[in-house]
Order: sequence, then structure tokens, then C-alpha cells
Amino acid sequence: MKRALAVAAALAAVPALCAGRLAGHGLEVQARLHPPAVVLRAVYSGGDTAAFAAVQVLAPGTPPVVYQSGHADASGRFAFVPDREGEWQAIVDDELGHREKCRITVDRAFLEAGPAPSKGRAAGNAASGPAAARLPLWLRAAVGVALILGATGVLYGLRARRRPGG
Amino acid sequence: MHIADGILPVGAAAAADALALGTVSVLSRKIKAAEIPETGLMASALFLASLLHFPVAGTSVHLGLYGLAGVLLGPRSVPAVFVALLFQSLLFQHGGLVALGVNTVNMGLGALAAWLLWRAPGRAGAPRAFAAGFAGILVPAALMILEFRLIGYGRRILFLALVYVAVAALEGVLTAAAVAFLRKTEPSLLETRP
Repeated sequence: MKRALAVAAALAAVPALCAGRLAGHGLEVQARLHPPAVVLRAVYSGGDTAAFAAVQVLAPGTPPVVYQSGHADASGRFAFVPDREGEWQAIVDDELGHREKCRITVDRAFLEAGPAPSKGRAAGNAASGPAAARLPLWLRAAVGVALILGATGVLYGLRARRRPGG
Repeated sequence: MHIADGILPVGAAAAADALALGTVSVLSRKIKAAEIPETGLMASALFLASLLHFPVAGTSVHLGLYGLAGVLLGPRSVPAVFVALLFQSLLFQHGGLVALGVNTVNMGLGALAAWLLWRAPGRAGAPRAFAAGFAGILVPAALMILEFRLIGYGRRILFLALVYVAVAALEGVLTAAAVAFLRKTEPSLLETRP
């Protein structure tokens, strides 16, 4: 037990010594509807911009066909103008190992809408990542630690009972 | 550092998954009951370490602690890395389930390289701890860059390499600090073990 406490203390000291920010690091894609365009923004989970990320837009269809490709700007933004209804996909890749896919449903009302208000609106149907990604980061971190330590406790109990003193 | 799903060819990712699962399975069986708590704690720390991230020129890099895991756990660090990567994939969207194997291989080899450096003959002092922490990041980064080159993926690869050299230096300092702390409080943890 003393060994485990010493390890815990050493591990707790590492973040304290570190000047970095506590934040997620995965790539996320935010989509806003600005008729007639869809504007994507690629950011890391902590809010840092994924500048100049490669973007590939796939039009609805079976199989989906490439409709537009290019790179985001320095702010991680990329826009495209859909020309048909259906589920569009945008694959964003920072070309450094991070990749995320976003799905945007375009309906008739969007195609027929006039120019959007200056801020546009969030694409409520845009989905980037699984449902877990929409939980607060601290909650995800707590859940992860709880699951790992819980599994550790169960394993420890099982192993200790099977091999006393092992 | 984490390779996302969809970047490596499916066949290569599946082969890495098989290699990683086999290795983790073999090494997990060798963990004694008394070693399970510290292995679980280290897995938790590895899981959380990726939240300490730094924006660097349009990308984002984070801590790994693979070198410290190698120093403290030896070969047991590979199962700990696997568990941490699994939960990072499920909860933080770092990497992916298909790419879990290749990420485990890359980062597990980083931890094993750190362990080999740490248990090499000679005095295991602060420079050795720094080198172990440095290798814990540099080895996975070098493997990742090599894999990217092999499949013709990515851009700014040289830039990425330079970024990871800086991250490795930071990890070296953090590992040396953690080792210095443990040397004062519980030196038996630093005994090299097979």
C-alpha cells in the first residue's frame, strides 16, 4: 500500500510541475449553417485551432462522392455550398495524425433559404464524434479514472484470492 | 502522438491490433497481485496525462508519461499503456479503437525503451531518468513518423519531429523530477525488475 501511495504522490506531482493547460486534445468539427453555405471550424477539444487542416466534403450518395476538397484557413474554417438534400460528410484531417468526420443533414428549407443572418446558426444535426464527446471533459476524465481504478480493485481482489501472497 | 482511425490501411491496423492484444495478454498474466494497484494507478496517470496539452504552431501536443511508466513498471507498462489508450479513445476521442493496436505498439515500445535505458548497467541517476523520459516520447514519435512516411501520409513531418523533440525534453525533466521524489520517499519502487 505504501508503494502505491508513493506512486500516487509522484504521479500527482507531475501535473503540478507542468505549466500546460488541462484540456482535451482530440479533433472536433463544428458546423454552422450560413445559407447557402455550410461553414466548418476545426478545433482541438481544448479550443485550439487546427489551422490549415485538410478537408474533404462528400456529397450524399451511395457511395458518397467527393464534392469539394482543400484546406481550412488559419482559423481552422472551411466553407462549402451544398447543391442537394441529404446527409453530407466532412472529413477533417490535420495531417499530423488527428482526423474527425462530421455529418451534416441538408434539407430543402436550407437550399431554398435566402442569405443567413450574419452569425448563421449552429447545424443542430451536425455530429462530430460519439455521444460521450458531448459530456463535460472533467466528467469524462472522472469516469475514466473511476473505471480504471475500479477494474484495478476487482482484479486485485480476484488475483489475491486466487493466489494468496502471489 | 495518437494515430486516429482511418489513417493507416485497415490491414496494417488489424495486424498491429493482433500484435498489441497478444503482447498485452502475455504481459498481463505475469503481473503479480501485489503489483496490480501501482499498475492501475499508472494506467490512470497515463490516461489523464494527455489532458495536459500545449498548442504548438497550428497543432496540439500533450504529455505521455510513457518513460516514467517504463521506469516504474518495466514490461508491466505495456498493459498500463493499453488500458490508458483504450479509455482515451472511448472518452477523449484520442486515437481510435481500430488504431488502438498501433498506438499501443508505438507507445508501449517507448515505455520499454525507457525501461531498458533505466536498467542498463551503471548508476541510475538523474541523467538516466531524463534519458528514459526522453526516450519514452521520442521512440513513439519516431515510430509514428516512420509509419506516416511508409503510407505517404501527412505534411510538415520534419516540423512534427522537432516538436516531439521538445516534448521529449520536457518529459525527460518531469521523469527526472518524479524519480528524484521517489528516491527520497520510496526508493524500492526504482529497483529495476525483469
